[in-house]
Amino acid sequence: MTVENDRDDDILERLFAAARKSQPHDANLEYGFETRVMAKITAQRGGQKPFYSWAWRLIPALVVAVMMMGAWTYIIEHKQFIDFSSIAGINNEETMLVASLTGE
Amino acid sequence: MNAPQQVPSDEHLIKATLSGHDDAFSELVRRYKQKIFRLAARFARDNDDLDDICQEAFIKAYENLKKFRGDAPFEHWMTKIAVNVCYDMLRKQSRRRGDVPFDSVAFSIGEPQSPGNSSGDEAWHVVKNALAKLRPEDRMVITLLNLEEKSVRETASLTGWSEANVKVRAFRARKELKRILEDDRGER
Repeated sequence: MTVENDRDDDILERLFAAARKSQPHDANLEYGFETRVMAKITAQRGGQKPFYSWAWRLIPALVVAVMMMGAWTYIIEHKQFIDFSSIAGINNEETMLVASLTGE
Repeated sequence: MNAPQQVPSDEHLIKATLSGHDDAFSELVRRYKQKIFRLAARFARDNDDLDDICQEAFIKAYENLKKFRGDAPFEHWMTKIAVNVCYDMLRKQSRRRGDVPFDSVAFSIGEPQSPGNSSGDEAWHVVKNALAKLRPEDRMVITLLNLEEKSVRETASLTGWSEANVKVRAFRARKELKRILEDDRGER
């Protein structure tokens, strides 16, 4: 059993030794390999675009935001105008009442 | 008189790459591509497979270059990445076991082999076909120990397994390989 095992080991070792002598690939594959790798790296990096490359997509949202701010500002200013005029009207009425009561 | 041009060290090229000089990484690829191709060829099924493995290994190295601490030489770190890529590929293939082609090559392993390319190629075909029937971890350990002639310590370092684990796996893998070769011989 041990002798047979030794024989198998010997055969296996000889097979490995012979296989090691073989060059299992075509050396032509290595030609220009670094160029291919760098091209792939550059292409992958191109896929990760910087933030400003997609910033233009925000333009419609920004336009809507500006329009809403304009409308809001107009409404607020208009409301303030109404408030001021009504306050001015009240003040005017009070002045007239005081004037009529005092006879001035 | 011109001063001899100094070859930049790996460390210098790594620093240059990290500073944004891709040409430096291209030089690293040029420097180590042969070694990685030779190793990966022991695992690849064909040339396309081989090119894919090597590209993936170098791209992973580029992406993880910041993590390279310089404790071991760049060559070792790079080989470790290539071994991992090969192991992942073997595991993927083992899930689709039926895809592995098996070419029957007439090669008598009982006969002493004369040195030469043709017997080497024949021997490699026999070993490759037998290795294709092994589990990924068994194939990895046999390839590194017996074909790439790495030591147990080197194999453990490259695979991330303990030395004891490498020895146990090597013993089992060898036993299984002998059985496969014996069966193949019986079929012929």
